This record gives sequence, C-alpha cells and structure tokens, in this order.
Amino acid sequence: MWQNFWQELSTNAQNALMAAGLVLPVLLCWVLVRRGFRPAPLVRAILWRYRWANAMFTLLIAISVGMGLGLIAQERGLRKGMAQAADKFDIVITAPGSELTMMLASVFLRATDTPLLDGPTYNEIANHPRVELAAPLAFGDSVGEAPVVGTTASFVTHLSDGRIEGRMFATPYEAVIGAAVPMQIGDSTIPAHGRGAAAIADAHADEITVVGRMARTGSPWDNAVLTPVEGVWLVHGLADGHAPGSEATLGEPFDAEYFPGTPAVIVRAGSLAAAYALRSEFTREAETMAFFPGAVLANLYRVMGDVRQAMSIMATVTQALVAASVLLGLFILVRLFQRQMALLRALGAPGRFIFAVIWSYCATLLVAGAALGAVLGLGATWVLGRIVTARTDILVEASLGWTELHLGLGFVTLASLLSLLPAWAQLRQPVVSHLRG
Amino acid sequence: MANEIFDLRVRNLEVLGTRDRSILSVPRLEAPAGCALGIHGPSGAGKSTLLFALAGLLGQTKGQVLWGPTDLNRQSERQRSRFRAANIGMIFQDFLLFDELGPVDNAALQTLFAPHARRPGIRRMARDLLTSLGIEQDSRSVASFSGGERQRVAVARALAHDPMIVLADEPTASLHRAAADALTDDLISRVEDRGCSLIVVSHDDRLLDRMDRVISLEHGTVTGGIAA
Repeated sequence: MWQNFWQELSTNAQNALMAAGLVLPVLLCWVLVRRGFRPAPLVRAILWRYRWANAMFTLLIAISVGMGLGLIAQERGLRKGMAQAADKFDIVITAPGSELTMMLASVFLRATDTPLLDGPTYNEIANHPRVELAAPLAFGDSVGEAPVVGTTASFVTHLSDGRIEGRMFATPYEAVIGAAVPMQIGDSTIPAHGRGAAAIADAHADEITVVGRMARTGSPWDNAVLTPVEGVWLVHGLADGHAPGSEATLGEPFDAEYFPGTPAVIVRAGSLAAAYALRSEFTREAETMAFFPGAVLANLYRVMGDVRQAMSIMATVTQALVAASVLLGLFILVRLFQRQMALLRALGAPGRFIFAVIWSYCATLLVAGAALGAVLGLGATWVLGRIVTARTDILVEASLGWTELHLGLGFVTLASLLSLLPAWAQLRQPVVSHLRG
Repeated sequence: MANEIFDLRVRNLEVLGTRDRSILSVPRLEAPAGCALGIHGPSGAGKSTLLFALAGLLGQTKGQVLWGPTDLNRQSERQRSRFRAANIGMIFQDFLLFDELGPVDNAALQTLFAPHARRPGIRRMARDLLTSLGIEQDSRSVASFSGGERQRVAVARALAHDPMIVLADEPTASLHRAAADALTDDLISRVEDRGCSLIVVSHDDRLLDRMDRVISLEHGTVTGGIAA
C-alpha cells in the first residue's frame, strides 16, 4: 500500500517528501529543545562575541558543502547539456565503426577520420518512406577555431528551429554561422584545410561569405560554420552531388553517381516507431551503422556509472568526515563560552536551557554554513559551467536541484544531530571550576 | 515566596576534592532568615567553596545544607537548579555579565528560562532595580560600562527574580574604594528592604563591618565567629 502510494506520487512530490523527511529531525529537535525557553539573545551574544571564529567555522562548512553540491550539480549540468546538444539528432547513420567515435564526430564535431557512405546508400536513406529529413555532413576545413561543416539548408533549419538572423545560404560559397562564431554577416573568408594546429591556411582559394547566423543551440554547432555540402565538396575538387545540367544545384536530391560520399547522415524520422525501424533497417554488417545519439550517451553514462557511484561514495565519506570535523570544531568552540554556561547554571537555568543555547548556536552555524555553501556551490557551478561551455560549446547551465537540496539537508540534519553531543557534554562539565575561570 | 522562612542550618558539611580529600569541613553553621552573614579568611581557605556549597553547586558533598526545610544535598541536580532559580541570587567577583547584552537584558537574564508567567515581573523588577541603582537603561551593551556599573548590573541580576537568599562572592574586589562603598550601600539597603538573607564572602573589612555576623575560615574549617 505504501509502495503504491509512493509510486503514484509525482517525482517532485517524492523529492519534496524526502526533503521534508530529511529536515524533520532538525525541526523536531528545534521544537523539543527550545520549547518554553528564549535562547536567541544568548545565541546572538555568543555568535557576536566569537564572530571571527564563528565566521571561519561557517566558511569552512560552506566550502565543504559548496564543493560537494557544486560537483554534483556540475556533473548533472554537463550530462543535461550533452543530452540537449544531441537532442536534434534522432538517428545518425554512418559507415560501421565505433558508435561513440561517430557520435563525437557528427554530433559534437570532434575531428576524426571516418569512412564514407556512398551515393546509393545516401539515396536509399534519403528516399526511405519513414525518413522525414536526411542530411549529409562533410567535414575537413575550418575558419580559425570553428569547423566548417557542409550540410543542407533543411538540416540547418531543423537544427536552429528556423531561428536564423540574415538568410539561409543559397550558393555553395555562402555560409550560415553558429551563434558563437566570431564573424559578422557579410564577412568573407577562405577556409583553411584541416583543423587546429594541423590546418593549412592557403590550401583553398575559394572564399565563403557569411549570410546568416543561427540562434544559440547550446551545442558545439554554435561554434561551426555551416556551408552547403556542395561547397565543401567543390573546394576539395570533388563532384558537387548533382549531375551536370541537373535542375537541382544545391541541396536535395543528390545524384548517386556524382555523390562524393559522406561520413554521416543525420536522419529525422516521422515517429519513434519509425526511428526504431530505421535503426534496425540500416544496421547492416559491413555496410551501415545506425544509432541513436541519446542511447549512446545513455550507454556512456551507464559505463561511467560505476565511476560515478564510486565518486558518490567518496563524496558521502567526505561529507561524513566533514561532519566529524564539524563535530570536533563544535566541541572546541563550545569550550570558548563554558564560563557563561556555568554562570547560567549557577543562576538556576535548567539543563535543557543550556542544551538549547548550545544546540541552537551549533545549528545556526551549520545552517548558515550549509546555506552559504549552497550559494558558493551554485556560484562555482556557474563559473565551471561557463568554462566548460567555452571549451566544449556544450551549454552547461548552473542549477541546484533536488539532489543537491537532499545532500545539503542531509548534511545539516546529520551534523545538527551530532551537535547534540557537545551540548550534552557541556552539561557534564563542573560548574564551579568554570565559574572560577 | 517572600513569606517563606529560609533559615540556614548547616550540619556536618564536608566538601570532598580529588581522591575524596576533604577541602571544607563545617560541622555547624546557622543563620536566621534576613541575617547578613560575612565570611572572611585567607585565600584558599575555602570561602568560595562554602558559598558554592550553600548554593548547591558542588557535587561531592556530605552532610546537610538546609534552607528552611529544604536540604540541598538531598536534592537532584534539577531540583537544586529550580531552588536556585526561585530562591537564590548570586553575585560574582568579576561580574560575569554577557558583554554583548544591554543592562536590562543582563539584569533580566532569568526571563530567558523562567516560566512565562514570571517573565514580565522579573523584567519589570530588573528595570526598577537598575533605575534605583543609577544605571541608565539604554541599548548600549554593558561592555562599555565601568567596573562599578557592571557590578550594579550584576546586583540587579541577582535581585531581579526577588530571591530570599543572596550569595555574593567578593562583590567589591574588582572595584575601587568609592565604587565598593557605593555598592556595599546598595547591596545592604536592597537586601534589608526585601528582608533577604545575605551571605558575603569578602576580604573587604568595610563591607564585613556592615554584616550582622562574620565567620572566619582557615584551611577549610570555621575558626571563628564574630557577632557584629
């Protein structure tokens, strides 16, 4: 019954209940320990008297909590960013080989040498009744850091959801650039042959002109120069995919006989069922390989799952060690105001009041440290996200989610419960010796 | 509560130190309610220890410390705390104030843990006492107060919950002569006004001269008692 109830809840409701369950012990402690008393003025006084020690302690908690939360948030942000980057790529069909390598080449534009699919194979894919869109890709050139990718206008429209400033390319020597490419509409350039340090600047003579700019996609394509695939073929001295005298000179359909080859065909299917059918149909030994980039990423995460699990265990152990250090720190901090506590006991304050003062003080430091840690974690995630985005063009967005909230609350609860110990230990201290100072 | 009688009767009191070594032995000591009793003696004689034993603050004790019908040595820690909160006001040599709090908050410290019903009364009394002791009730923390002002706040704190017993440990030791005399006047008059028992540990002859009785302690035993 309980299991059914739990399963029927939405994910958000489950997470909210988990968060409530995690914070409940602290709230119960708060109510039970402080009931009938007014420890706040003394807690404020102690916090102020030892403000530098308290600030340092809070900062240490914040850094440890922030690092834990930041790492988890960053890992999730990267995973989400990669999934989003692959979102527009339903199926990729390539020559047989490594799915991961081909995904990195075709979706994440990592330079690699890949075998080509020929014209008849491309046409078989493009003319398949289940295929809504089939776009050949052509790599090999670059403009500065940006790779030049040859493709079709319909794929550029699909990739950008039609959000293009300027216009679509209309000749083989026009280009639409990604949002992050440091060029302007109207700029002209001669692409270098190859990429990176191995690029040869003067290998080509044909100039391309930027006529449009895509809106940001959050993928490596934001840093790509997209030209008609015919342009890439032509500058390398190949046929342009169309028979001489043919009406079509740019984009589909291509003539198989004049099709120089493509390392990958990006396919959009009409439905999920069609996508599975296509993957099955074009997975042919020694001929073609069809895969879902999303599934390849999922497999990659699964393979990395063990590492992630190990990291999670390490993070948990680290948090436990931090909690132990926090406990030790609290024992030391509480010693600073033993005399004041002895005074309260001499004045007849009940033990539970002393307990309430010390525990409230500890809980305040912990909650403040965890809250500051969440802010630091979010800030660190934001900075790291920008760095990763700048280096990979995969949009990594900083956000703290339920997982981080649960981790933060779990830490606060565990440490708060542990901080009952210094409060309890204080009650065992002799009053008179501390009164005498 | 003010009508209750708090005669002090100490019987065979023995305070034990480490390895059960006796550090204070008081076979018999009596002081009627409303009496001002001074305790003097050399340093290390056990004066403060006796005061703390009378407040029920020491664990390892034998014998009886009777305040009226209540034997503190037969009570639990919790019961002794309640007894102190209700009936005893304590004043310490170095004041032991919360420097970050103002004079009213220090004087009304008991409102933080006293039963709700008593809190307004304690706070009102604290304000009245501070006014009559000449302490301004502004929002300044007591950290900026002079020694005399701080000790007066401590006196207000000791009296704000209207205790019938006031125990003071070297209340004038940290004060210069004029401040010590002023505090002595204040303390004696407050205690006389309320009919409290006052027990003071002190080296200050001028303060001891104002007591009804003074006893001497040496090496943990009572060596003499003088009728004032």
